[in-house]
Amino acid sequence: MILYSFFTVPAYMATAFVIILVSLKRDSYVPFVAITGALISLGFSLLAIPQVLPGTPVSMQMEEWVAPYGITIFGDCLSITLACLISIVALMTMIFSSSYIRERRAKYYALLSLLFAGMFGVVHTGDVFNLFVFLELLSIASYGLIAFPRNRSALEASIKYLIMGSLGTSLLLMGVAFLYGLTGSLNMADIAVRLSGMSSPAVAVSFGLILTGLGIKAGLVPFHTLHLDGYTAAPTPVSAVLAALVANIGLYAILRVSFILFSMPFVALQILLWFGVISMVLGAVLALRQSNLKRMLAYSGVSQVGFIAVSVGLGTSLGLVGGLFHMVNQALIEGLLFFCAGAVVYFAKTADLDKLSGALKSDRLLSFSFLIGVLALAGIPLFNGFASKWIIYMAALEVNPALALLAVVVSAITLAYGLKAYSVIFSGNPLGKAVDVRLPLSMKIPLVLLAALIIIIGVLPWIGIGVANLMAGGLDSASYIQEVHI
Amino acid sequence: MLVYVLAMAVIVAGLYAMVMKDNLIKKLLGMGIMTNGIHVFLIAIGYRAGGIVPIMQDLDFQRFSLAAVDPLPQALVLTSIVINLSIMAVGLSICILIYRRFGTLDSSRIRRLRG
Repeated sequence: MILYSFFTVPAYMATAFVIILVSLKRDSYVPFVAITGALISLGFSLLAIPQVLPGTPVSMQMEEWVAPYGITIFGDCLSITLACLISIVALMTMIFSSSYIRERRAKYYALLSLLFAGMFGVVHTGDVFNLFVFLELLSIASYGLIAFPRNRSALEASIKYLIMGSLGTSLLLMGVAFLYGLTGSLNMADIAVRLSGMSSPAVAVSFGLILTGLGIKAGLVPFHTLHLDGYTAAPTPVSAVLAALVANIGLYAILRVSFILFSMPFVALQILLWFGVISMVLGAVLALRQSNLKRMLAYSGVSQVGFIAVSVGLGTSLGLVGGLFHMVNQALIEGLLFFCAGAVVYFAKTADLDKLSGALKSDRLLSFSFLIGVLALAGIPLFNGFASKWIIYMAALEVNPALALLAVVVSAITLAYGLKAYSVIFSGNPLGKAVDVRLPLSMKIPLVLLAALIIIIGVLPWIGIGVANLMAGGLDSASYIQEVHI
Repeated sequence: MLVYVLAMAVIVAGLYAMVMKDNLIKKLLGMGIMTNGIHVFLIAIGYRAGGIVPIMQDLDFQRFSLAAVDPLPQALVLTSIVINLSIMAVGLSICILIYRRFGTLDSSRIRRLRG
């Protein structure tokens, strides 16, 4: 069977290639090529929805090689939902960047396309080595994009991200090598079959290596600082992609590998839970103290990833559903907030909250979308963040009421720093001459669309809950093995 | 067994350089050394003492499968070498830009200069 959404990977790679070719002729066509590529791959992702909708996974083999020997491409509700999410955010980023990025556009868009190709690859692969390869593709593109402004802070953040990031992927490769030595296979389903019933310390070693390697990518607490610098220094549309998607992709890979290969041991759940708790609290508390808008949003991203990890780490099926639902919501909200921050930075030329006070003449669309983002992030009813956070509170209440209370407190802190930023930027006393904000169409479209999605999911939460239930089904090891291993 | 110990020693040496050294070039070299250690480890997994090159010349599958070394880790290592090369290229070109902006490659001084 042909899985349509996998064609997003070659589509984005071809887009990167065509962008370079087109830029030799005329630089101003580049954004249109990129947007076309993004639209095509959005189409491919949407085409795959009916294929997996009954809840049945679909797998595809490269070139008729049978399962454990050939390269397996795998899609189920979890990966297709994430593919659609990536497609939407990718399209919005391409549109937003067309007015934000004014110089060296070809390089920027080509790197961005490769970044998305890597993400789609990670989501679709059924093979641990290809997971490593696609993760590296994603990482290398992100190192280049963070360094893109070529100023001091961007270069410093980029080299730091490069060294720590390649340490993470090296650990992942080491874990893969251990797995291959143990089982003689790289196919996830095949490894899962061969690992079951095997109890060797080497299994634990390889799991630890893979978990650490992917944890660096997900940016949970001990590894969050390099992400923060990257998010702050990168061009703002890139920060949106990094905060909304890259951390989630890392978490997705952790969940996929630990549920399918290692059938999610209790220790790993506890690790996720406690590192999640620390990320959730520390991210929110430190976000309160930031005076840089982008850095504040980056801390809020760490805090939200913590929420997801806590929810999954509870180990109940309700917690899993809440975590996956929050993954989708968090990506939309962080995307919206970073795009708003991008518009603010674009007009005010600074992300410093002290200098931003009243620096912009109020633009209703911009302030409304920022407010929607803040309220959704804090989990106020009628916005999508409420639905997923409510499930997380309920799931936490079943296991440990103190955790539920902690999550509510963190949400309150989130509201506090969000509203602080909102009031400073949009209703602060002007320090100097206020800049007139005239949002170009390419900035309006992403803001309106993401805000609309946030409100639609918020008003009709059962759609999202249904999708999250189907997504959680994708982490069932038995049906995965049955689909791939014939 | 010796080759595994050797591979681990190389990995640890690379890791040491990556984490402890201040100079960015040394950090990148450490990264290269660590990845090479992993490559040695991978090759050692697929090695068979006295094995033949995994190219099928005559179609005697039985004899071939008993004598050949495992070719898959070698393919993995080739892929990984290419990836490592591109990371190294990106890292070194960022280092060139850093040297132009900061006038130093010492990571602790860079942190102070960033301001």
